[in-house]
Amino acid sequence: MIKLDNLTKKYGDKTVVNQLSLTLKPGVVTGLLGPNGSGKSTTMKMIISLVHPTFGNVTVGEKKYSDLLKPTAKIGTLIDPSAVDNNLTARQHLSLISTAANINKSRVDKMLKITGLEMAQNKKIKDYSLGMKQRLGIATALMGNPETVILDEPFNGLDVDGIKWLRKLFNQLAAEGKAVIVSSHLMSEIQAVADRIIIIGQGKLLADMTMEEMNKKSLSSYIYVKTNNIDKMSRVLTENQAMVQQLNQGLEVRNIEAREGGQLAYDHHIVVYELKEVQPTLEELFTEITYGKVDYVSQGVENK
Amino acid sequence: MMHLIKTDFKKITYLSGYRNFLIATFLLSILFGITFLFTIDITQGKKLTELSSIEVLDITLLGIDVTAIMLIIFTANLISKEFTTGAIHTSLAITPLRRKYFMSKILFIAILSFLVSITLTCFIFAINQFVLSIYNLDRLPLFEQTLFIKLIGIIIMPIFYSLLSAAGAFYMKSASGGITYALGVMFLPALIKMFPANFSDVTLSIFPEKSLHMFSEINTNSISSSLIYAVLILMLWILISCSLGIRKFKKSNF
Repeated sequence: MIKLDNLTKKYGDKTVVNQLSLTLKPGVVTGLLGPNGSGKSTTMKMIISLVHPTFGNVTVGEKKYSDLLKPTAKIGTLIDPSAVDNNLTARQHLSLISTAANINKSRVDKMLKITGLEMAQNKKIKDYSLGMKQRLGIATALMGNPETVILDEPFNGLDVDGIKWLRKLFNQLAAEGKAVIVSSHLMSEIQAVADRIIIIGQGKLLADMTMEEMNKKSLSSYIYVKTNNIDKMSRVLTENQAMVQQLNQGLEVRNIEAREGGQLAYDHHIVVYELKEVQPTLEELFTEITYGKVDYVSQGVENK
Repeated sequence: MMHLIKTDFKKITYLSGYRNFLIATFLLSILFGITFLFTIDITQGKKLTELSSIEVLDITLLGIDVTAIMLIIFTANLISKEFTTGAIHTSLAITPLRRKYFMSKILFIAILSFLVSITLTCFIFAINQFVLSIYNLDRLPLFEQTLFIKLIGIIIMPIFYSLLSAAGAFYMKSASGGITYALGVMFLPALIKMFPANFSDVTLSIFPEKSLHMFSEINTNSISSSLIYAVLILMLWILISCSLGIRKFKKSNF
């Protein structure tokens, strides 16, 4: 279990990570979301001691990562897929990892097979596409068969097959009881794989909940109701503390559950044509939660 | 630690750039040694036969200066590449204890430069003996104490400057930092010698050049005191450089 306690990182006057406290549990795929510069990568780097916290600390099973006897068995990381010696081949790169970390040589073949790099194992990394480098980075992270896998933007550069493979791999790793922490700006991918979502904005923890909880709590979720008498339905709902807004031929209703709305319609003899719960996409949720918490905002495009 | 040193040796066998550089180091050192030997009449204004056997050896062993310069460049490149490529992320994820990582690099450089230096010194010494026999000069007795200490001094020089280069590369996180530091320490005495003797004598005594020369200029009567002083100065340079290097490395964020 990885515990972040009051973790803070400052570079001069700029606070990149601000009093972040979290616990990352095994058997769960955790999605780490946040706008550019929100502190996701810095947080990941602090977990593996690449960046020193200004305050607070990170413990991996009660110990600091740098104090672990066999760190590769605890955490496997992919921070930057291009951060390798490009003149090596994939096999050579993994072989160096196995020697340095004293990992059984058989893991090299296994990782090449799992990541689908068998055919390209003797090709120099400089000839790899970004997707292939991502696969190699994932192979590197998994070399020590770690309890926790931390991957920063692993979907970048992957093709459709690659994305499908990665989703499957995450589920498999979580099923094996491993903790998987994935950061991504591709919110649809996080939605497809994560059990738990952590949203960071300006270095602060904005949300930490399961996907289900997040959908329920979001202001973006509402019920849509279509009846034979919109005015009457609107009045009844408003009297019951619902927030009502007309949308097309029906009503967009917040602060009330679908079952309760149906019951009210029944009690007031209103004929319901349609009643559904509308859940927001993660993208909408993300925008809602991080509103005003972004460091970089584009100002549109230049008019010619 | 042994696994990390083994990994670096393995990396050299994998990467042709490093392999070729080391081969070039061997070839250039020997080539320069032979060139210095056969251009004595131009550089010294004397014929080879007019020199003593030990003077001939001194000239041939100038090839080791080339070894030292090549190893300075090799070391600085090897270490800085970890930072420039970002491979340090993977390396520190495997070995998060930075002191251990730093020490493994220093030990690897020490072992590698020792192997290169001892091989080349032996090779150049053998060439020297061969040339001496061709010119009917007295061959040098290998197991003579002063000669033996001189050869040890010659072997130490590339190791010493490589270690300075490694510490400099860690401190500056760049190849140019490592090279500049080691070459600066190597060539600064030449600049200091231009100053008045009362300043330069004192200053030069703390520079490693004088200590390295002590090995070659040593005589049997002053072996113990001179050697202790020389070894102490060299150790201090390495210790201070490495301490600064490791201090900066430990504090760095990657």
